Amino acid sequence: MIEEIKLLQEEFELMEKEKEVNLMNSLPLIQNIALKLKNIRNDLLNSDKPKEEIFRIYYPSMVASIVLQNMKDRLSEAKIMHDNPIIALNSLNVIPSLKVISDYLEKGETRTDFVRLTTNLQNSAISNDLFKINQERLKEGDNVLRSIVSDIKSIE
Amino acid sequence: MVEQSKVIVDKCVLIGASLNHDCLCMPEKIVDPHYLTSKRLLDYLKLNAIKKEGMILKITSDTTKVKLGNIMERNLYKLNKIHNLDSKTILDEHTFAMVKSTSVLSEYINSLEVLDIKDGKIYQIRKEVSEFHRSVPIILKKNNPKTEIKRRISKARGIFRKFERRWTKEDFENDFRILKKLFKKFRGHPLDKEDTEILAYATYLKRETHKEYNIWIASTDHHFSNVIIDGGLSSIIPNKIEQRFQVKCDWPEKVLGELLRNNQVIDTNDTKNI
Repeated sequence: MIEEIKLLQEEFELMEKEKEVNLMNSLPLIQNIALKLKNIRNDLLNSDKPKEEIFRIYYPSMVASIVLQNMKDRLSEAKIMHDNPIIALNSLNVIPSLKVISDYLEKGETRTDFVRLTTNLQNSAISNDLFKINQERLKEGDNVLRSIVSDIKSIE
Repeated sequence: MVEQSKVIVDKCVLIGASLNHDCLCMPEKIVDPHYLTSKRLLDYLKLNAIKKEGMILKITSDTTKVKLGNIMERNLYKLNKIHNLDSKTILDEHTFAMVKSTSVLSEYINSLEVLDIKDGKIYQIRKEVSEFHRSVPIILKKNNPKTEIKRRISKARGIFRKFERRWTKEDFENDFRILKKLFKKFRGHPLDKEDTEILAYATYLKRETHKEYNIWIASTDHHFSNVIIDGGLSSIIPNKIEQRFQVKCDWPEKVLGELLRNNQVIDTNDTKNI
């Protein structure tokens, strides 16, 4: 996963340099990382580990997924919304925290400061406008995710 | 004369103000018992951030998040025992609660001034605070005449035995039972490093940089504030701290009351509606 994030970082650096959004390479990379995160969560849900221990991995992985979903949505609409190169710059700001989280998740060792790591990513994403979820997309999702969004919006 | 104040916020107040979540899949709420009172104080400090009345220690920002994680894990364990829900539902619910709480927490932390004192004097004060807290159990024991009364009863002979009832009544009326329980509480949960830091920093502010200010520690922790045990209230710890360090410690609602009274700026009714 960390390799894909590094590649994604290079893609964003290129986008920023060329002032042009490249969906061909970036979207599959994002999808790939999100899929890996989902697999981590599914493996945990099928394991017989205590829920408190699973939570230490599950929660950071969910937050990382929300951030990736936001990246994907903004990239897809970047041309219409004239969001380039801002989306590239915003994503580049968030990637260091995303790297830390993915490193933590890949190692699979639970840490007591998982909340701090995740909050760093979450805060970085909020300040870079990458922690909102498209309401339309959420209609397909589950209730809990829908409530996450409405509540986060009310916090902002 | 209006006295100016500075408030150092303890992690229990920060968590108290951030933890409030209505579960969708369970009847329970994930909420801190001090939610409302803590929220009112922190909302006030956030709203008046320009006055720089609220402060936080650098270390508190990180330890609060660790503690929030622990609370959530404990809650997860507890609710999992009560409800027979599938793993995904219960984990999603807690993830939601965490996302919400940490967002609120970060906003509160950002509205507070971060204290990071490098002055060498702080080491001396830290030593003083540690010594003080080591002496707390002794203070509690000294102030608890129960031992004394018991000894008096055991030594009383013949005619003096009739005082036994009076001494026991005296013991009950003055809530001396609280001191015994508080003593046990202190022995069971001694002061941690962060508590020492908070009091040391508050003392430093009072002695060195903010001599003319009232320095408050807003906390619900028994190491600083009043405690209610078995319906009785004990103020012995905050009183001793104030005597020794000239730092005032109290619950968030009391601190807010003092700030509002001193500042006389914001209408109390408005603050209630925050």
